[in-house]
Amino acid sequence: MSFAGQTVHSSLPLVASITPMAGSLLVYFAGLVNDRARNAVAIAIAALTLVLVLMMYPQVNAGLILEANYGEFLPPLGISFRVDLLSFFLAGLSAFIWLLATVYSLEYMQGEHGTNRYYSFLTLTLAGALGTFLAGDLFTLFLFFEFMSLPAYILVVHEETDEAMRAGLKYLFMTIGGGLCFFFALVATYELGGTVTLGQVGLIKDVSLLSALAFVGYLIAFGMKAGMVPLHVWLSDAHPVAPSPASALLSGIMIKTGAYGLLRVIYGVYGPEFMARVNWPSFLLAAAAITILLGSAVAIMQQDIKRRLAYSSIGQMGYILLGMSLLTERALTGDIFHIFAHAFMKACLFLAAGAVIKRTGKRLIADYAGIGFKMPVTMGCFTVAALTMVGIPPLNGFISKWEIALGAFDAGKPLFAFLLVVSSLMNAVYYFPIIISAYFGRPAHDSLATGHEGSGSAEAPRKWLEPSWGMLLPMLLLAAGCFAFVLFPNNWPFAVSAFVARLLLHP
Amino acid sequence: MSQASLLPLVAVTAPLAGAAAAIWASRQGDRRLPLILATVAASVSLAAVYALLTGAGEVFARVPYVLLKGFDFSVTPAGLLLALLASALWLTAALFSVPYLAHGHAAGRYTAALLLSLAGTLAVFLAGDLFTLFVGFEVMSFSAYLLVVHEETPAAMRAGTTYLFMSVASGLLVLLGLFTLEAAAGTTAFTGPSPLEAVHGPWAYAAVAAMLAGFGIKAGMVPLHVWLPQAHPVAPAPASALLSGVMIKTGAYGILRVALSFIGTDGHGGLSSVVGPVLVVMALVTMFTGAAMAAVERSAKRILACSSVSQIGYVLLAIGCAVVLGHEGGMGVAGALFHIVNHALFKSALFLMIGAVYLAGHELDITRLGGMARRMPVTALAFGLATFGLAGVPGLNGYASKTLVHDALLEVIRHTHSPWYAAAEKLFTLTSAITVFYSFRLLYYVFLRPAPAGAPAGQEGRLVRAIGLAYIGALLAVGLRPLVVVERFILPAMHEFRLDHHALDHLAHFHFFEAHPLQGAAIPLGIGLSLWFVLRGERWLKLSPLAWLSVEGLVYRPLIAAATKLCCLVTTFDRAIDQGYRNGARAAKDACHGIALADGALDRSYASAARSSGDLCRQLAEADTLIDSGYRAAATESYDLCAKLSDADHALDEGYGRAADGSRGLALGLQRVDAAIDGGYHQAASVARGAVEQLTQADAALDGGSERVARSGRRFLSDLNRPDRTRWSLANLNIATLIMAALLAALVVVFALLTKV
Repeated sequence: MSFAGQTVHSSLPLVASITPMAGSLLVYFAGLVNDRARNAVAIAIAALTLVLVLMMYPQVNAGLILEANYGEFLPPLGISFRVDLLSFFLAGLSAFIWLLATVYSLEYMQGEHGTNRYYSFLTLTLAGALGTFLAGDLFTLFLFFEFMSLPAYILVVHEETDEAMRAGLKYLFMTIGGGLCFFFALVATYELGGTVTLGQVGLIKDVSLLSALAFVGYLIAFGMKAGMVPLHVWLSDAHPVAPSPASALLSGIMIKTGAYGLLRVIYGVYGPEFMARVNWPSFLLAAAAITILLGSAVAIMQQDIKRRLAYSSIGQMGYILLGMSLLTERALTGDIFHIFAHAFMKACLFLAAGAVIKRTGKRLIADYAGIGFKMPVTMGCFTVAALTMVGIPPLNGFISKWEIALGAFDAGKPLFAFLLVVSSLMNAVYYFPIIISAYFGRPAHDSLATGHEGSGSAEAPRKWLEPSWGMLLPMLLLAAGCFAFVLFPNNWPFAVSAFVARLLLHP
Repeated sequence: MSQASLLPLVAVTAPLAGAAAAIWASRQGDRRLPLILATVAASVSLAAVYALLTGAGEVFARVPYVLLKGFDFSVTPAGLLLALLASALWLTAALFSVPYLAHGHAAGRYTAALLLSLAGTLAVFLAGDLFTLFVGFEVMSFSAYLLVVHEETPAAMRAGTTYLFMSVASGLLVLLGLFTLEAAAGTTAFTGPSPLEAVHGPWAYAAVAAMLAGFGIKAGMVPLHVWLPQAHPVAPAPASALLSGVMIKTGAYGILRVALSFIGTDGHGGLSSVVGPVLVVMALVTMFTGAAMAAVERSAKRILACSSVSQIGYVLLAIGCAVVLGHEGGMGVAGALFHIVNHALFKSALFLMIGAVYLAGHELDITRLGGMARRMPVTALAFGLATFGLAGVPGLNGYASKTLVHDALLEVIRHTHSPWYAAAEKLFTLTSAITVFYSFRLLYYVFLRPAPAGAPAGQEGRLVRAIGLAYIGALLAVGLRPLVVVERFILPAMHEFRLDHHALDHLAHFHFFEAHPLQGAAIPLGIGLSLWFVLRGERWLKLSPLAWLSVEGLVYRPLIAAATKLCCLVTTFDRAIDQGYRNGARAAKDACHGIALADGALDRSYASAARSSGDLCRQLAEADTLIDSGYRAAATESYDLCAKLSDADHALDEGYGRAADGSRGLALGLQRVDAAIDGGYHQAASVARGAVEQLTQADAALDGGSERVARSGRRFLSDLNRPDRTRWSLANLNIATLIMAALLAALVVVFALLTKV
């Protein structure tokens, strides 16, 4: 990876974003024919999108920045794409996890209602997420951000239960509110900088009421998406009620668009020097600290596995918000790495929880006793991802914790390192009981049946409840992703994170 | 010069490979194969470590990139000593596990955990920097959890949970220290300049405190020890032996590293003046509390576990003394290392032998045990020697190291002349006495006293016997020739710490079996034995420790409760935020409702305004029409009036004309009248004049007549006056009087006529 900083025109970003958009229609119409065709099309679209994103790798890796302007479309601002390493990294991550979630959905959604709708909107939101990451200016980013958020409503309310509808309504309103704040900030940025491109660092140069208001607008818009306290209330309702693959994507990828947006705002629109001068990120810092503690503390009290995971997401997004607001290179490295790491682990956790729900219908943690014997692979993946979340070496979570904590020291704020440590302990408090209960707990009826404790019940014939490979494989891949890169001498995601962090801080 | 070598990596990775193989083997359904693999893996590690120890020079191995920093196995002499100890004990425990787990469950999991914890422990001891140590520490802690909960009984699960969370806390505290050092210095290597020097001000204290607390949890330092008396007894005996024998030593080793590598013997930045005394105090509390707890326990394994807490106190005391003494702390360092080795030996022996007893009868309550010496002679002998070692009986290993620790404490007293340290020495003696008491009682109850009814009646197996014999040899060898051990193992391990040569020389020629050290051992032995003699009765064992007085009951449970409350509170806060949004939404809805109402009202008011203004307009229009018609009427009227006035004017005009005409006519008439009058006057005048003339003529005639009358009168009068003529009578009328009367009448008529015209 060398930094040439040259730009080159490429239509790949457009094609990559358009493919799932057009593909969603294709998925819908294929679904009218039959389910099998629709599934094949959905997978093919997701795979094709991933391939298209990956095709950008050679150029991006060579240090080139892919650009494409479509000024004729939606004038006067026009649509534009700009793919640097960060954009590519996150877009690739999204496309990959989307593909896994789609594959996982095949079995998970079998026999559910509204599958046509589900798959179409699953594909559609991919277009939004990709466009958000690949956007070349704030206006495009805004369009795709909305284009992702609004269709995701359909995913949230898929179950159509009262609870889902309520959660969906909350999600919708908060999303729209956030979008409006974004819009305001966008307009303000245009007013202040004369352009909204992401290719130029420091669009806003002066401290003024408007620039501060714009920052607040961005903070609300992206913070809302990222689950920043006190804008997080939709997350803990919306993520649990969605179908598990959708939860995985919501928690794994979609909330990261908020983090990505904030990264672009802090390090692009305003620029690190401006931010260091005015010290606005310290507000974000405080919010991040509260987010971490609140997310973890509330997660401890949740009895529903998916709610616990959702609150855990809030806490983990706190890490990411913390990392970006410390304004040091190591913290930023850890931050970007954590976006990657958390996408893998949280997606894995939601998929594993979904597998348990699908196969046993158990949502309460108290019911998880002994599930590890019936679903060893699923719970194995869950365990790996949960340990990653706690940040036990040598798993990914440790690396991000390590870097962010050291970044906190670099920034002269060691208390945030302490905060991370406390949060790790809290993560342990809410993840370990699940694991312990899964592997060592005895379900009440089992012990009644065997009558004795000890080795007797352990040897008793167990019902094998593992789902098929279609669900296991995505989980296994995600779990492997939690530590696989650590084992290689060159930790590619980390190298990318470090490179991007350097680039963002020293444009 | 140090040289690169693969041996440290071999030592660490062999158990990892063994763990994988063991899991594979357990899938094959073989019960013994995993443990055999474990034995092989542990042997490989032992061989590698031994090769390192006997090999020439210092050795390092680096695993770059992994976990960013990469692992640094720059083997330190002290670490190497403990690594040797660890791999030897692990091998023993793996062997012992074969009979112990012969009928147990989950052999694969157990073996894998055993080997993983070995890998972690070796990584701790072979680490060249704190980062590598920390990673090993975490691997060991988490895999040991599986050992603790192996039995899966409720007690084991509870103990396991306590263990797990305290381990997590321990790791995180160490991590905090690690963060501080790494951030400040960029390195955490044990050799070379101390990374602590780069840490400024209070953060150095904070980092040291975090690391000491972190390692202290693992070491079982009071009051961070609560997990230890719970976790060690519930684990299978071989695992207990390792937990108590070696794993808690990783904590002690960590403290040793922090104290001697980071703070150093130079007394870095005043830290040592704080850390030394603090360590000594903590050590004394740990020693005494552990011993006191052991003295009131009934379960053999709990006694041993509490004893581990107490014995770790000795190690910590030695380290504390070393820190206080600085360069001259050779005795302390030696005491710490030697006691780590010795405690590992005798405590693992005790746990394994108690494990053998447990295998024979599944009984651990010492009041129900007894007479095992007859059934299990080798076990009994090994246990007895280990007990003596624990009690510090001269000729056995514990004595030697306790003597060193005691000597270190005496040296501190000599250096500081502090009465507090002198009091500490008394406490040391008391603790040693209690140790003697509980260890002898344990030995007495389990092995020596006559078997009570229902006591287990098992036999010892061949493997157990072999292991027992090995322990007997080792304990006696170390106990009888401590100086050899000191010279061969302890002194080389101390070279890396910058210590005064004088102290090392003194150590190299230390006389363990002289009067003075023997006397130091005799006092606690005497007190302890008397105590045992007085308190050996079973009724003293009926005393149960007050649960609420325990650290767990006093501190941890309330802390956990408080933390749970806090979490509840935060959850409530979270709900409150959510509720806030809901309220906000409701308020917004209400506001919208109000606005809608207002809008309706406004609409209505517009409508009514429109209506009323319409009415007004209509009325105005009507009024307008009215006014208009009024105007029109007025106009008509006024027109008429005007017309009439005009007419009148005309009429008037005409009238005036006519009047003028009339008046002109009148004037003319008048003129004519005037003229006529004038003519008349003129005529009258001329008439009058004619009359006047006639009158004048008449007058003149009259005058001539009057005179004739007057003459006729005088004649008449003269005739009247003649007497018969004076009387009037017709008879008197003569012709003259009648002519006169007729003339007068004619004059009057003429006059009247004249006057009339």
